Formats: sequence, structure tokens, C-alpha cells
Amino acid sequence: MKYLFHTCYPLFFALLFLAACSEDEEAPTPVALEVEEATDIPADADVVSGDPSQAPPPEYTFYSLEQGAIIDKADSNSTQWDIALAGTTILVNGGISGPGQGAAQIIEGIFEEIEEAPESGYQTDSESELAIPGGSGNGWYTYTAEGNPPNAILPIPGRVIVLRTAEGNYAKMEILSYYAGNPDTSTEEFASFQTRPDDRYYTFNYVIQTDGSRNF
Amino acid sequence: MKFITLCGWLSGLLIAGFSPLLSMAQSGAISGEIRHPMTQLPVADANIRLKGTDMGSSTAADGGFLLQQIPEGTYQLIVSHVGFSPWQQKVTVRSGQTQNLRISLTESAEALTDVVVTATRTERSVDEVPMPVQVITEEEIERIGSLRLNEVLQEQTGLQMISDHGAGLQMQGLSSDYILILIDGEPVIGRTAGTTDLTRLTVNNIARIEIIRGPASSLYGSEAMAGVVNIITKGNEPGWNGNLGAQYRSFGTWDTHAEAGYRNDKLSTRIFVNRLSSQGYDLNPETISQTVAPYQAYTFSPKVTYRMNDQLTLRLSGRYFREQREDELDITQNETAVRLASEDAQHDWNVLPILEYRPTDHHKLQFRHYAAGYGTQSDLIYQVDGQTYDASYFDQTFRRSEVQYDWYRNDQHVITGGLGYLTEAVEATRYDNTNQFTSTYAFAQYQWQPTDRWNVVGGGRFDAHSAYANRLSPKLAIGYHPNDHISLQASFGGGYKAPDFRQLLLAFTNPVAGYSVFGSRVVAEKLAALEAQGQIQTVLIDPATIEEIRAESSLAYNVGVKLKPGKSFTLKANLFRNDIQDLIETSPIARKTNGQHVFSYFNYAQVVTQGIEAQADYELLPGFTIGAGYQYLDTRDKEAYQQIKNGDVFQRNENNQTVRVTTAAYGGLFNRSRHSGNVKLFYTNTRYDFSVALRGLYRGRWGMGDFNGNSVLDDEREYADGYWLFNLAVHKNLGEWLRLESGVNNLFGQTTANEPALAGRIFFAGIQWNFNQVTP
Repeated sequence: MKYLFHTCYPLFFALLFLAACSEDEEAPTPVALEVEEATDIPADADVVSGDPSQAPPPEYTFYSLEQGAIIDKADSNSTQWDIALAGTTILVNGGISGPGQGAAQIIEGIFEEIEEAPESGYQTDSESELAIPGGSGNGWYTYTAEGNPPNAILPIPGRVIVLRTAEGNYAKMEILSYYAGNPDTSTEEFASFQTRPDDRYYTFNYVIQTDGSRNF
Repeated sequence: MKFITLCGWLSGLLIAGFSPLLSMAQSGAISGEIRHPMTQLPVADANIRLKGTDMGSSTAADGGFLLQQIPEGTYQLIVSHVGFSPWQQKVTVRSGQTQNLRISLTESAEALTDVVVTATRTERSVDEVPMPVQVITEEEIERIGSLRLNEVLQEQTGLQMISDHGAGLQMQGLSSDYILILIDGEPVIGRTAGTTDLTRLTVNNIARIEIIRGPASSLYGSEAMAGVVNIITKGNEPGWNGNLGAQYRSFGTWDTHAEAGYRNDKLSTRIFVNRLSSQGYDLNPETISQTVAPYQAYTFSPKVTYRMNDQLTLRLSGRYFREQREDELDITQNETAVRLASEDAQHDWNVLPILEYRPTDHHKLQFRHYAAGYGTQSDLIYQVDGQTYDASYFDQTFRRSEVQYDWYRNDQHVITGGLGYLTEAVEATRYDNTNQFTSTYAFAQYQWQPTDRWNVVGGGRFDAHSAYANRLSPKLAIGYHPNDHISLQASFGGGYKAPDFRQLLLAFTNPVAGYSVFGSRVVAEKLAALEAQGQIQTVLIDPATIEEIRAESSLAYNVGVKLKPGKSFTLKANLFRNDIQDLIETSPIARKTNGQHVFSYFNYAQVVTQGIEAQADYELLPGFTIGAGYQYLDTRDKEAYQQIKNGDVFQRNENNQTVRVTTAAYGGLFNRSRHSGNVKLFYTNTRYDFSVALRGLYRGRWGMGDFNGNSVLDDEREYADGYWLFNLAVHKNLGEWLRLESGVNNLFGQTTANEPALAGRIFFAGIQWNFNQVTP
């Protein structure tokens, strides 16, 4: 089969040519940091999907990063809570959303590598825009629509929410999952609507700096 | 021609067989000239012989021949030439007379194998076309026992079938959206989510398939960006002919077809009917709905050619297709499961009259008027009470009038020009009203053959459209053929794809999530309406400032080589690169008060596909051929690649830590296999008249979807595993008319959740009866 060599010869060059077009980059080693993890925080989880114009107003879950706990709904008009969750919407306790000093921005980077909160650039929730914007690709998630897995909300890796708590302390958070039990989203079980875990359950990591500085 | 009897052909044979006995009788002569079927230019070196005798000759440079000293009698005259199908005719020779014949080898290229029409819209020998052209013959289609076009194309090197709203073709890394499927040169319309479903197209009436890789928009306009697949339907031999066939397959699949044709000097007519039905199959038994629902499909296709005189020919052809599917599914309503029955129907039709005028040997003028339609209807009905849960429809019509002029100046120069006007209309559940678009276009092409070794084809097409920006698509191709063993070709071309109906017209609000998507033609009006209703919080992009949407366009390069070191070995390789810009994607244009966005369509993404395709065929022993094909494919979204390079794209590793994606981890576009290929063994036994075809098809791993939310293919888990498929078919001829076939597709029962088209092992058996009654 001396022809085999002839067959492969141009292929070999083509491979070389194509391979030359890509260059490798070394992945930086992430710095290990102690982080708090909030798991399966429900976010208006009982809602039944339907026409949004007919839907009842969202039932927010109020969460305190400072205390690491869900806050009673009765305290929604206080500075007890830092973020409020309903579906994919995240409010911070400030502006139109609450009486606190809450404000936030999304920065791109590796959670562990962010050692200092930015000095400026924070938004508060306003009529025109929330500090943590919604919509696929705009804020913290991608909506897969007809892609694979279908109709899934997937947190975008590297999107870190840096926020000011109601009390004015700085925190950084990274959302890991929007589904109960933080499932592996690459499985067939997740792809199928019959077996996919319930949505509207947040799992996220965060680090809070309580000394008032911007250092994490 | 004087004795048109059903037995004329047989008696001709008999007399020809006994002619040596008559050789002592007085003699006459036959003279004539042979002409090219389309150009009417003389055909030199055609072989002329009288069946059953050793008398023969070949044509001179002017196409003329003369056979003398032929004993009186009736003979079967056979004309053959490489590149044409053989011609047979009964001739009666009388003593002292010369019979003068004028033979146009066949009236059409339908049965020719070495001539291609798709690459230049003129009939050219495959070797003279300096572009990557592949021809799949009727014999190749038959020997794999296939029923639908997807089965034939998936076995070709560099072609991949992708399941996405039907069986869609992928070529040079570009999806079905960018590939034009033609039947006898006219487009098959009707796409679902961009896919032209190839299971709509039966292969029972196909004479050959021509595949052009690389853009052909310079001749065909929109959608011919990755390439063109042209199905040439069967034509007629003189006399009566036809066939009846049936094939049974696993999963209760029946295919039956009947075809009949008749041809004489003036008239050629043919009719074809096909029925395919299946009980479908289910790869997910835990759900009530099937992976492929039971269906019945009917195809009906007549055609008529009438030669009014030497200059004028009228052709008329048509097609009607209808398919129905029935299934059941469960939905959840108010937290209880409700069962629905689904009924889906789709149909397509077309009518194509062509008037062809050839005032002299050198000029050809064609008027074509193509009218076509495609429609779908989809109903979901509550099984409990028969009430409608949802009903949707889609109706599209396409009309095109075109004039094409070819000037065959001489062997060196062929000039083609054309003008056309097309109207497209669409009406559908998600579009308002009936929408109509028009387009005017002109194309020109120059084929130049300065010497026997060089071929140059240059040309371009200009499209002016009512709904998007004008387009100019250029093309230049050069071929060099230094000797019989090697030929080289290089081509450069521009391709484009018009924005589809969805991108122009969609008016959709997701009832569950509450976001809206509007096509670029309707977004200003729809956004204003939402604003008036107080549903808009912020407008992010003022529709008045948006530029007119442009067609997606590409610049493509193909460099190929064909080597034929000996009679039994051929090697073909083609390097390709497609640079695509202005890809249309959705982007938010406004924010609604419900927190969701309004999206519209914009030109922004840029994509590259490049690679190499290679095919080697070797005739190991007489009748025993081994072939192998391979494609290496590299694809890339330029913007995503740049972001990765800049360190702006992240993933989570197995320890749930966020890390930067490296360019090495970037896998390119989804649904593309970096490696794919095939191995094929064909054996034909002439002694016992049977053939065996064993094919192994490899589809390398491909990106399934974005499982980690960063929108790029970068994680090992995001790939579907590659697989091999083995298909086996055996054919046996019983006498001249009967043919039996049997085989197994997917020999090892390969299935994967990632490819719903893989049903598992499929057995098939079939029979075909051919008849052929040649009259002089």
C-alpha cells in the first residue's frame, strides 16, 4: 500500500498548516480562597409558568450575605437583606429596591483572582435598569433557547457580581447554578425536561469583607 | 423509422445477427454526422459500428463518417463515445444507396456521466471544469439500496448529515442554510429553521447527482454559499421504458415506485410516482412521543419534452410531494399531564416550463419560468375532547422568470449571460399578513480554454433585492491539466445567503418567558406598538439608526489536485477556506417592563471554516474497488476566538473553580466534526451477476451544545462521541429485467442519544423490474 503514504502526505501538510494557526496559552493557577457557599436558595420556586402578563407579582426571596441566611419577607423594607431573588432577577438593597446602600456591578474575571472591589462603577436598581441586568448574555446567565441543553439558564463562568451590601460592605459573588442540587448540565438527565431538576434554585459562592475595606 | 413496430428492435437484432450470411449480396453505404447534444458542434472520434458485424468506423473532425460496402439488409447501428451514452438505431441498407444520418448523441445530458451542468450552467466535461465537482451516478445510488437523498449524501466524503428540524446537509463546515439543493437546475424551496430536509427527496428517479463544493452564488444567487447539490432526474432512451420497484425495511417501512417513459424523434415523456411509509421508531420509550413518528409520503413527478423543429424545444416538468405524520405527546397544564395528538403535514410542488431556441450550432437561448410552493400545517389536538390546543401553518411561494443565453463561439470561448426576476411570498402563523419580496438579477460567465491544458472560468452575478442590500458575487476558477495523470485547479468565489423570512418578518413573543423577537423588516413598527402599550422600559438601540440588514456573505478559496498515476488508482484532494462575514444573529434592542428584552436581527458575527478533503480509489482486482475518504475540518467564530485569546472567556474546571479558557481548548463551531471519513469496498461479479457494497462511515466527535454557559465549545463534556456506521448491500440481477436487493444499514446497531437519525440496525430487501422496448 505505497499509495497510502501519498494519500496522507498532503493531509500532513494541511494539518501542520492548520495547527500553526492556533497558539496555546498557559492557564493561570487559581488562588485558593475561603468562600461561603449558599446552596439551593429558592427564588420564587413555586411559580407556574404561563403568560407573564397574567402572572402574579414575583415572590422574592430575601437573602443576607452578612448573616448567610434567608431573611423573613416581613423585613423586606429593612436593611436586613442584601440581595433578593425571583426567577432570574436579582435585586440589591438600594435604589428602587430597598432602603439600604446596595449597589452592584458585574466584572469579568476569575473569582479567586479578584482581590479588591473596584472603587467605582456601581449601579443601583433604577426604573430603567437593574444593577444586575437580566437577559441572556447581559448579566449573569445564558439562556440556551433551542440549543443544547434546551431552554436552560446557565450561569456564565467568569461573571463575578461585585456588590455593596445594605450596610455598605463589599462582597463578591459568583453564581454556580440555577437548578436544585447544582446538577451537571452536560448529562442527558439534565437535557430532558422530564428529569431535569427544578429551576429557580440558586447556588452561589461569595466572599464578604466586613471591615469596610474593598479588599477580599 | 419507417417500421415502428414493437418487434422492430428484436427483428433488427435477428437480421443483424444473420447479416454475415448476406454478405455476398449487393451492397450499399451509410454516411452521417454526429453532433454534440447541446452545442450541436461536431463530435470527432466517435465509434461507429454495426452490431453483430465487424464493420465499423469512427467520426472525423467534422463529425462525419462513412461506412461502405455494406451488404443489403437491416442493421443495428451503435454509436459510442466517451462522455456520452451509447446511441442505437436501426438502419436499412439498400443496394447502391447511401443512407444519410444526422445523429445528436442524446437530446439531453440526463444519462451522461462525464458531463456536468451545475458548475457552469452549460454542459461541460467534468475534466474541463476547474472547480471541485463530484458526480454520483445512478449505479452508485442503486448499489447502496438507498431510498432518500440523505442516505446517498451521508456516504460521501466531506458531507455530513445533521439532524436539525429534518435531515440537513453540512458541507465544508457550513450548515444546510448555506447549501442550495436543486432539482434539474431549479431550487428546492421550503426550509424549516434553515434546514432543507433531504428526506423529502426520493432517489428512485435520479439519473445522477452533481455536487459543487465552494460558493456558486455567481450563478445561482442566494444560499449557494457552501455549495450546490443538483439532482438530475432520469431521461428517456428511445422507445418505451420504465420500472416498478418495492423495498421493505425494518420499522415497517415500505417504499414503492413506478416509472414509465416514452421517447421518439419529437416527443419524450416520463412519469414517476413514489410512496414511502414507515411506522417510525422511538429511542426514548419513557416518553409517549416517538423519535420519528409514523408517516406516509407521496411523490409525483411528470415531464414532457417536445421538439418542435431543429431550433425549438419545449420542456415541461413538475413535482408534487406530500407527507403526513401522526404522533402523540404529553404536556403539563395546571400541573396535570394532558395528552395531545399531533398531526403534521408538509407539501411542496413545482412547475417548470422551458423554451429552448437554438438558431444555429453556436447559439442557445433559454426561457425558464419556475413556480414552486412549500407549505406546512401542524395541529395539536386534545385527545379527550378533540379541541385544538395549537394550530400553525407556513405557506411559501416562489416564482422566477429567467432568460439565459449561451454563445459557443468556438472550442476556446463560451459566453453565458442571463437575466431574471423572482417573487417570493410567505404567509405564516408567526408573521403578519402576506409578505412579498422581489428580486432582479443578472449574471454573466466567460469560459476560456486557451490551450488543451488550461481552463479559465470567470463570472459574476448581481442581485438587487427589495428587502436587503444589493449583492455582487464574483467567481474566478483556473484549471491546469499538464497530462493525463494530473490536474490542478484553483478557484475563488463570493457566496451569499439572503436573510431568511424569520430574520425579516418574525413577530414572536414567548408566552412563558415574555421576551420578544422581531424581524428586521417589522421591528420599528412592532417596537413602537409595544411602546404605545407602555411595555417598553428602555430602548437600547433606536430602530431608526439601524442600517439595512445585509445578506450573509463569504469569500471562499478552493485548491484541488487530481492524480491518476495509473488506470486503477485515483486520488483527489481539495483544500478549502470559507471566510464568512455579516452572519445574522439576534441582539437585544430594548428592555421591557417585565425585565425581559426585545430582540432583533443584526449582522455581526464572522466565521471561518477551513480544511482538507481527500478521496482515494483503487481497483484492487477487476470488479473489486476499495475507496477511502477523509475530511479534516477546522472552524472558528472569529470574535469568540479573539475573546479567548484576550483571556475574557472562562470555564469551570472539575473542581468547580473558574479558569480562563485557552485557545487550545477552543473547539470551534458546534455540530462540526474535526475528523470524518469513510472506507468503502465494492465488488461486482460479472459471472454470477451480483454485486456487494460494504461501506464504513466515520463521524468524529462533535460539539453538542454549550453546557457550561460561556457560549463557546471548550469543555470535554460538551462533545458527543464519534462513531462508525457500517452499511452493507447486495444486489443480484435475474436476467435482464429483474433485480433483487438486500442489505443491512447500521450493521452493528449503533445508536446514540446525540443523533436521533440513528434508528439502530435496519434490514432491507427489495425488487425492481425494468422494461425497455427500443423502437427505431
